[in-house]
Amino acid sequence: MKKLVICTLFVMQVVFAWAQQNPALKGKVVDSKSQKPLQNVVATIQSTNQSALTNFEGVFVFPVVAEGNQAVQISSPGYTSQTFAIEIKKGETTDLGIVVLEEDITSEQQLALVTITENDLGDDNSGSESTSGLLQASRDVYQQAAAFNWGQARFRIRGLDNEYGTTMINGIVMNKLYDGRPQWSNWGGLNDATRNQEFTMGSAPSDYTFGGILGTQAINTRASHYRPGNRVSFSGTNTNYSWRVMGTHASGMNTNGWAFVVSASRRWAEEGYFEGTDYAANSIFASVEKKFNDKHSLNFTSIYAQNSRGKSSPNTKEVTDLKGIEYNSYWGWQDGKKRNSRDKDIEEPIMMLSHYWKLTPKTTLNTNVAFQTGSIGNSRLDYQQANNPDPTYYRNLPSYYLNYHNNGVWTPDYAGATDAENYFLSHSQIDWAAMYAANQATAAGNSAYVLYEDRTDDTQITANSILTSELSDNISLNAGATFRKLKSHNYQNLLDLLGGNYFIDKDFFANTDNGQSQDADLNNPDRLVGEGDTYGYNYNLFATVFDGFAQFKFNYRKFDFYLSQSFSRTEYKREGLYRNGIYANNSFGDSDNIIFENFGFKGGLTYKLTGNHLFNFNGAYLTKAPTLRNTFANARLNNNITPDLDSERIFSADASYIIRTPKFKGRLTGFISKIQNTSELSFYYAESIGEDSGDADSFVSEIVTGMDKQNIGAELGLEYQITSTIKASAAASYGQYIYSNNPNLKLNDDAQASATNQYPVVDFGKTYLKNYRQPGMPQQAYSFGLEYRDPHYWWIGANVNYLADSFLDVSNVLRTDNFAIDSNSGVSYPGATEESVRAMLKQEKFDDFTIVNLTGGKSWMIDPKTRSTVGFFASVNNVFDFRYKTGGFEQSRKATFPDMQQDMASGTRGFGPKYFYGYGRTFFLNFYVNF
Amino acid sequence: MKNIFKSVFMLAATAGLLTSCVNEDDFDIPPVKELILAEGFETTTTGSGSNEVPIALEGWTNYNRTATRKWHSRIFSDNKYAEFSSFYSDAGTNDEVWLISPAMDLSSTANELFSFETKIRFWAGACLTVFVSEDFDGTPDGIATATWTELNPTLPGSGQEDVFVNSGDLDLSSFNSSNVRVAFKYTGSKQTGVTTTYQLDNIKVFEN
Repeated sequence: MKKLVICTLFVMQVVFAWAQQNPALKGKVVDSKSQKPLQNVVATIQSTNQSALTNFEGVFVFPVVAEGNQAVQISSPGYTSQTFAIEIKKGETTDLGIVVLEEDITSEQQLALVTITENDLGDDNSGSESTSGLLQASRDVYQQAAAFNWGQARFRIRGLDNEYGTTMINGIVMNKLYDGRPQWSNWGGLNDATRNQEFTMGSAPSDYTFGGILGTQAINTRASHYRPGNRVSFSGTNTNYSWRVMGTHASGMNTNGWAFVVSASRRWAEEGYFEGTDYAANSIFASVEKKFNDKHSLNFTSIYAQNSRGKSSPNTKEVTDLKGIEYNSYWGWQDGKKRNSRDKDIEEPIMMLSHYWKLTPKTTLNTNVAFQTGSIGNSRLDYQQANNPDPTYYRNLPSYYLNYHNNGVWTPDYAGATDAENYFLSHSQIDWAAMYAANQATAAGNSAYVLYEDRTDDTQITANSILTSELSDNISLNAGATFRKLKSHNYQNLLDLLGGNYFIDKDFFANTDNGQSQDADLNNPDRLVGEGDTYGYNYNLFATVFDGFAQFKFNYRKFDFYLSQSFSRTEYKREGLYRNGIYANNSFGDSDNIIFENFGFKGGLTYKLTGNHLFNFNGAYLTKAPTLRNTFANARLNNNITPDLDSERIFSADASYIIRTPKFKGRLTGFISKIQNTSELSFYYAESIGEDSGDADSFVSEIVTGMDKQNIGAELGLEYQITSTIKASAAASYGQYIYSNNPNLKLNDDAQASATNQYPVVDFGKTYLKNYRQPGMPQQAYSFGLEYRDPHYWWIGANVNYLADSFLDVSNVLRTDNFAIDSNSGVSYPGATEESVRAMLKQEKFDDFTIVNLTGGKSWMIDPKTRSTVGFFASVNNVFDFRYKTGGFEQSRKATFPDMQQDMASGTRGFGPKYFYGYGRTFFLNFYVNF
Repeated sequence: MKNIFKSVFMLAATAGLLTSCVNEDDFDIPPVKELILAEGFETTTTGSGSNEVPIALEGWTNYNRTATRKWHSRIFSDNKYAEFSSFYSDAGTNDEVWLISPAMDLSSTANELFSFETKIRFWAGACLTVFVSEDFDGTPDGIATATWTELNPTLPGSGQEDVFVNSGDLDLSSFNSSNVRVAFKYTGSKQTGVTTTYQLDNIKVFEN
């Protein structure tokens, strides 16, 4: 009976589909092993965005396709995709017949993508991760190399930060309003559940958004789009976590129109790759869809991903030479366990309700509402009237003694340096016991040391509608409008008094010479705080963003082209919840409203020389509002708005030649992008940069505005099927990513604030950055790989990669007039010549390196009827254990020529650059069962 | 058609790369305002008491047009400087002692400033005048024939003994030749009792 109902339903569906008119194109997709129909396989007319899904019976149908020669691609996650050349004639149905898809066992590799965590450069609470943008596997050879082979070395496609890409789940943009970057941890560990993804590269058009210039990633969690089945996997690795378990069930759509998917995973490590980096992440996912009728479907998705991990410290060469690359100064022993003082905790659940409405056979309207709320916390130690607990504090290290100067004369204290070295080697971790002891020994019982977290509690509502319509055989329209509203509560949260009774909510570093108070909140002076209390700073940020886009795509026999435009309005505001003692007049209450209006245009053209040879061109010009992060010069303390704040201007163009033959696939692309008038804010302790001469240290925020960047390069991806089982692939990326002007630099120095000067910004004039390289990524990358796929469902692959031209992040303030010119005399410091200054400020280039990776896997069919399989996937990355720097930054602490000269006196710098290192040899092993 | 497309594409790509690539050493650096002239006399050999060691620095001219004693090097509190006083000259003599800098090339610089520090002791009349020339040939005989433009520095006077006084920034921007020299002329007399001790230090010429 049940079967009969299903059969009838199929027939009716088919009838419905057929009833409209003769479809232009149809086909049926089955699994190669079981010969069973495959549901939810995507068929795409290439070089258009037309796509269709297969139904229960594995059948897909395109009612209308533009006439002429077309290529149709049949793809489904976990299967090897196939492409067919077809010719569409008006009024006739082209039938592809039965398409047999083979399971792609190499797709297991996706699960092994190295998760690289961000470089924690700033002292602010940037929640998101600056991992390589959009490094997820797509089917493009070049992008695969970027994701699997270069991602571990922090390669970035086109040298662009992922704030220039757009990551969406069900059409909802997941890039954070705070800094424009997506928070990958929000759905981390849910690889099975987020497998349905579409990508666009560069400024190529997406159906869902106008997007940035890096590309778009559209994750789809619509329950009916998952292939029914179950999957359980267990993995072991030695990267940031040790173990992972994951289970997923997808129901497929039942006869009542219900479909649901659930998935859960746990990842954990007592200690990850670097010392003291513990890891614990739990993720659960559920999505349920109800199809009401042919026109209406509702889908509800909820994602809860909780992630807690210990961070590792970047280290100077001096420290690495003494303690090794894996050394991490952030942890210390407590009661026989390693306790990390810098943990990052993320917990921001997402709920999404999506409505799919088929207005007409050619027009759909997708409306989504999403709600996300939760918190991000970054813990660290706070101390007052006590010594810095950091074991690598500069006074603890030999360099402090080796570079000792007395009245400008170098007087190295070698005995002191030896003592310091011995002490450091035996006291190289955080001393929790000493802090507990110190807290219990204070006269008043207050804590001198506490553990706190910088907290960001965001609540965001997003609503959008996306319209897709085929206006005629050749013209289609995408349009959308999105509304986002964010409330972000930022504060210091006291986690642990470490044995003391209370903590004094004052800033003892605050300068009181100008009649300022040290109170964090003048509305609540002389406050004593305990665990769980808010202290230090406390404020809300509000953002309201509206944006819309419209896009027309034209498809013809020889040419396809598109035009797209966007508009957005952004409004920001800060609300101070404390009246800060330094900024009594401009810290409490609302700031001004800041409003930006932005627009974008883009267009592109594909010329189809033949079905196998294509030329593609894209161009985009847009303006982009500054991020919320960069809008307030010193958001923790006051309402001041960043001086000279303005929208970015972004220009991008690329040109590609694409070849697609059955055996050979290739793409060559040249690109250029210019990002102009951008701003950068950073926070740090500085020396010799205030108006006062001498060694006054002060915590400053550095504001760089009017900065231009230029990225030029070429990318190449080639794939050749040597035999039916052996495939060779090659990829190359050659880029030059530079700063292309000398922007302006201002410093906000709290120490100079007074009752009459509530905006203590000092203008340092220009910072001379022109032609320095943008840091933190290899600007050249080459890969060559071979893969053998045995017909008996096993495969092995190996690839060798060469990466080069990676540079240190230079300090901006070191490159102002302040560096070489003595403000007292008006002339350069002694010894500062063009030659010596150039030598000192030359950007450090990291060594080139070669990484060899091995991968392989096998799967076994258990039961052909149910298509049950078991299998494993294994990989070894960086087989030869090559150690390399992935990034690093110059410290801004020694900001003048003589200061830096003194720091270099002994050859062991105390304030030298701090570096991040890549993983050495790592492995990943995954067992899975599909049933 | 195919070839046109291909060549246009390749041409554009190579042109783009070639015109835009910058060498790694092409980076800008913050301005350096090197001293065009910097003399603190720290490399000179000092004398003491009646042992006077005349200043004999490369390129400098040190000449007494009316007697034999010259500007000489002294040290006090770890600091070396050039000194002259007619007090120790032979009875009945007069001194016109010139200390003239090496030739400076100011043809490609702009807004040049000149400063120095002077200390006096035992005030007995003003003795020091300061000049610039663009046609001095570097020889003792040339002193008389060269054109000297007098500058107007801040100099210590009676009651301002025993501290170094900064001259203030003297404008050299109107001197743009490759043979610009600054000169310190001590005019004193044992005979008439004009014998103030002058000490010179930290002579600087720099771009502003």
